[in-house]
Amino acid sequence: MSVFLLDSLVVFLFIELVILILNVISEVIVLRILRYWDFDASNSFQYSLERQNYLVNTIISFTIAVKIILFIFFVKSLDDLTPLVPGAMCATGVIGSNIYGNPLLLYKIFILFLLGVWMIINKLDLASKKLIFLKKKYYLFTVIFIMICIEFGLEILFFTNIPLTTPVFCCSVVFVVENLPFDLTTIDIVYIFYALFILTIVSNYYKKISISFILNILLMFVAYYSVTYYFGTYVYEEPNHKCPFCFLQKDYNYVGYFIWGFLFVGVFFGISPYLIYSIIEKNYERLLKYNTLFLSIFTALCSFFVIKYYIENGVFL
Amino acid sequence: MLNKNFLNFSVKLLLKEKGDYLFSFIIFGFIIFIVTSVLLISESIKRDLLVALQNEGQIIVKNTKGGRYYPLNDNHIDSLLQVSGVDDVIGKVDGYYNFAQDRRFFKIAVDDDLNDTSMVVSKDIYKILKDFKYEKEFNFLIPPKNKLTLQIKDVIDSTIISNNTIFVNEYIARQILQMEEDEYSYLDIVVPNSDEIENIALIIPRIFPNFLVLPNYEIEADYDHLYYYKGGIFMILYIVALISFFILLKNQISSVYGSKRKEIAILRSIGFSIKDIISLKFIQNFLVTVGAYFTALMLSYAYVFVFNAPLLRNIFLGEIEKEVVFTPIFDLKMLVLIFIFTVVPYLASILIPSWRLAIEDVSEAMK
Repeated sequence: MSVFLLDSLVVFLFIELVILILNVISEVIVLRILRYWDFDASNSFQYSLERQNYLVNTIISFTIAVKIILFIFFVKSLDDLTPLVPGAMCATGVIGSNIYGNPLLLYKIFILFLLGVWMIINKLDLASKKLIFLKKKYYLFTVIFIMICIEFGLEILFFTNIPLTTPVFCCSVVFVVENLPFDLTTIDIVYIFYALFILTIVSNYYKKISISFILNILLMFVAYYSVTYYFGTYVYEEPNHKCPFCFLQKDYNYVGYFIWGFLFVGVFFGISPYLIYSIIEKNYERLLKYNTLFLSIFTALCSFFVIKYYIENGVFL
Repeated sequence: MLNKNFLNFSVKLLLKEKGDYLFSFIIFGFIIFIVTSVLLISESIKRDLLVALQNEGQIIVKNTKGGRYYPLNDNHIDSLLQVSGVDDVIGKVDGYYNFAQDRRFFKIAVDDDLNDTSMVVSKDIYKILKDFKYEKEFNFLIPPKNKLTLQIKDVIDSTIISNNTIFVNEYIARQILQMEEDEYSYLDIVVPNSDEIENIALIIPRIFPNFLVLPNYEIEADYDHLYYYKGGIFMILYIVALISFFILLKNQISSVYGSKRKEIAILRSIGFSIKDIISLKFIQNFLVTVGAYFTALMLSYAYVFVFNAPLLRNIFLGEIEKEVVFTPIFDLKMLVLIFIFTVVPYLASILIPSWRLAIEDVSEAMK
């Protein structure tokens, strides 16, 4: 028995490979453009480069769309693997079954963020008519391309190293000890989370992109801990069930996809203005209002489960 | 330029050029149809097996002697009831009857709603019995020289579980299978706390080393393994077919687009940008694939669950299981899987031909 016979994994790797091939094609063109691009030249070679530029744009836009779908599909496939991995009850067991799992997940989110930033820069570039950001955007793509290649390697390593005979730890074991940084308690983390949330909104209001950038990165980690150790228990309505993956399952109406989805989309809009500024030196602070919007939905959704539990039972967990 | 008018125009143009897309639509639809049908059949069989498993106890215990199954008795039940965590132990009777005339074994299962003179058979068995002129009743021959006649009370649909089964009550089953009053074929152990199943499954072999202990999660995992295996092998083989199709598709689309150069040049000269042409072709192909996807899906549902998958069923079922019907299932995850598996590579393979078409030199094309 091999995990590579699981049909969702076969499909996942096949599509990843298709995307990788398309990206290799565009990277070849990108390297040529980076080397020979001269917007002021009016020879046929420059003209052909400009036409190839369209192909690269199309391929990368397609890559972004597929990568987002594949990310959700990847998380779902991890759930599918749980019956095959002894001891695993949810994706925690599978992802923690070898050293590549957790880095791969973080890495995937990071790539999606970078692809999103690329997309915004591309939009600004095309709007500028003279394609002034072209070289910068393609340097960024080259970085992303290398990362996508490494990602594919990591995926293969992760899937080949999933143990099918040795039992792995489940979420009830992994998260049972409160493994919080700086000896903080769960309640501290929740206070910090709300404080950071308010600070981020204030910073967004005053359009301080660099402060928003730092706050959002902090918020992402604090939100991870507070959802896992505090808000999650209210979703499960059980004080000892601490898991960032279980609520992705059908038993909890797939609410996890919304919780994490709003957080990641929100954080993306929070960090991208600063990244865009540092790459192309252009202020694009209007994204911050989406940051406020999505983070507010995320916080409201998390708080909703706590309030709902309190109204129904008259006590906190 | 993505707006309602643009979408409207793309659809109108697509309807005008539908002949050009017919080839890809049909072949692509056929590819989706085959993959969906195979997955629906295997998923439906798996679902039936799992449903049947849920009706059993948490642990099934069988006795073996010299590697062969051997009946259990009341003493075994009493000892197992002593194990803490075990709520109940139910002795079950089943086995096979040798129908020597047709050289085959019928499975005998217990249904206590039946009386001592009647039995219920599946469609597959009824067909065999009819061939031997047993249309209303059937004689079981029990050694040394007894004959037991039962009326055929009812004929039920064959599923993967019931296709080879005759249902009788427990008293009759014991007579057919020649089992004593206190003998059982296997035991169902009821464990109310699911956390204890694993532990109890480890304790039983210590009391009875020759027992075969099958916890329900292990059987479930076995079914899963078997169907992952079958599904996975099929998918890997199918990728080969898919890749050849996409190469074919790329060439076909390129040749069709070759004849469309003038049309695109006209669009370009009235103000369509290269990006618009690529979007136009992308939208058209997306509509073709989604159309093919849904058409194929409906056809394969009808093929598997209405017509019972002629031809393809033989991959999964044996020669005798002619009347087996598949229990309809709806599995959204599987449909998403098929969508990603087929539609994404299709769209990926038309990107380059669409771009080639869009960058054609306008004045060259108009000549």
